[in-house]
Amino acid sequence: MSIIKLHNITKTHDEVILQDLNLEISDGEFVIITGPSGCGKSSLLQILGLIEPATSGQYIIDHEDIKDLSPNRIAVLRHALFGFIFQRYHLIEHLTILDNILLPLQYGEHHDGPERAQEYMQSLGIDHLKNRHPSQLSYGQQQRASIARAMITQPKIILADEPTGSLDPENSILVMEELRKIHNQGQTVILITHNLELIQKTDIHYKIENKQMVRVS
Amino acid sequence: MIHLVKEALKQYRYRWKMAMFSSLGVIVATLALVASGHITNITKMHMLSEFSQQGTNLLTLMISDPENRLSIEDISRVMADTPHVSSFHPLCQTQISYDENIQISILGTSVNYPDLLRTQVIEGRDLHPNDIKPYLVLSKELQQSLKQEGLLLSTQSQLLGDFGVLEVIGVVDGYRAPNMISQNSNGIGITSLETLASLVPNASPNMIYVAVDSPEAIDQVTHLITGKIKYLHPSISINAFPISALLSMTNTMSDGLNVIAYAVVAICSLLGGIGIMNMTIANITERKSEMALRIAFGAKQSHIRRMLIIETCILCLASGFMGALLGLIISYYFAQFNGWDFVFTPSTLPGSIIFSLLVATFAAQYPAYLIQKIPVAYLLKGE
Repeated sequence: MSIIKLHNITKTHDEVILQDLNLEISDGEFVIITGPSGCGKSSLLQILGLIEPATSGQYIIDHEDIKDLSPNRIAVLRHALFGFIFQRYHLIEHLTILDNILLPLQYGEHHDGPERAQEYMQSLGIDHLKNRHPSQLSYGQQQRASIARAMITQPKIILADEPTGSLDPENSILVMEELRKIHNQGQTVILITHNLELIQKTDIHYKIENKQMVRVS
Repeated sequence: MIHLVKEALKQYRYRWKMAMFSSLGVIVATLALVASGHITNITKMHMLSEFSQQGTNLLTLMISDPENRLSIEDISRVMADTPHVSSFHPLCQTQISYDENIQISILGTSVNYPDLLRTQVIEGRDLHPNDIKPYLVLSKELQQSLKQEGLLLSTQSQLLGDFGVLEVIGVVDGYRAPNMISQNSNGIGITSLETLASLVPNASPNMIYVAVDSPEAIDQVTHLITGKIKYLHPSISINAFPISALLSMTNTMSDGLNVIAYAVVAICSLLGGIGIMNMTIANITERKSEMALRIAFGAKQSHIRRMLIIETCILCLASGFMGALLGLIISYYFAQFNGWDFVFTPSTLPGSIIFSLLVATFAAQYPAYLIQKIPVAYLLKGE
């Protein structure tokens, strides 16, 4: 059952970035989208994550066509469906790691957030760092904190934009292991990267080529 | 709500210098609000207390007599012929030169002045109705200021000048200039009207306190006295101030002070609001990536607006509290400096809180509007 369906999506920003792009992602898939720098990977992720609208085309998410939705409904869907992991982590410096992880809970109804945060921090090995501020952590630890933050609302889809882009190989492996664990729990993971070494045989691999999506495996 | 307050506090702990600087306007505005409210009230209460001590039956007549025609005898005659007058105290304030350099303020008054001027003898004795010689009583302040000029005066000293000889018979403390007579910080010498008339022949009374037997008779007494004096000497002009008029003048003055204070507060609050707004704009510019992140995790515009309002409210409340505290301290020292009672005016405190919250709500609106223009997608790119 498809959770995401893009039909003839075009995105222009001074120039055409994506053109007539089609993509269908089913619930529980591990999708990797690759492509060279500047090919429109991040733009696609922002369209998928309801951060930025497409210039034209149809986007159906969880059976709802986003063109019919109000900004508030889009915010609600973004909160309920997506967990974001960014290359630069985007942790808020004046908040502790625990506060950063709990941040998305402010925008929805959640009852067991703090317990879940503790659980994720333990499984990611950062529970001893919960009272520290982001600048007191290594890049690998910061990225693990951002994974916990993405997971805290138990979203249906994890969108990861170059999550290993700023990490050394050892931390990259750890982060990928965490993403696969998340996938094994039944969540859909959409990973954007230019690092082909991260791809496994079971993954669904797409490549952006000539502003369109090409399925590789 | 509580988590937003906690987050705001963490945010300000992180950016405390910027917060302190930008809150100066609100601190000044609430300081002005609380201090002016208190000072106006302290002044008003002090004046009302002064007037009430004099009784509601007192009439003050200010006399302008450029040709010095009005004599003590004239006044005595007029008062004797006027019904409802229970007592009267002409006052004449002038200056005498001791030598070329020393000018002494002298108040000529009736000898039963101590109650009127609220003085107490601390050395020697007071003036007496049977005194024949030209006697002088010094206020403590005059004794001290003359001492600084090298003139040591105590009881039984004699003051010799062009005016003649004055014998000092006592020193009094607590002299407070009567209403409408300026308080001389160098102090004053008090003598009888007769003595003053002999020392300064062209000095005539410039003020008369008239005690009337009932408040209802004040208007009639005013009318009769002014009519009679003007009949005797048409060139004299008289202004009558019954206590009721003085009370009303006090209230008018206090209202005037309030208007000035509110104008100051309005200007400060505008500046304070702009300061806080600028800080919030600078803050969200610096925190664009944080705002974008919050939007990515599902924050609506209303969430961001609420967060900014809470942040500015906390800053304004803290500044308002500091301003109010400083305002209280300043007004306390104002009262102490003047030797008046400090009157706590609680209504200024909720006023300052409401005022701070209004400034905060106003200051958060434009930054919250700017949030809509944040390029979320750009900010969350991997660069």
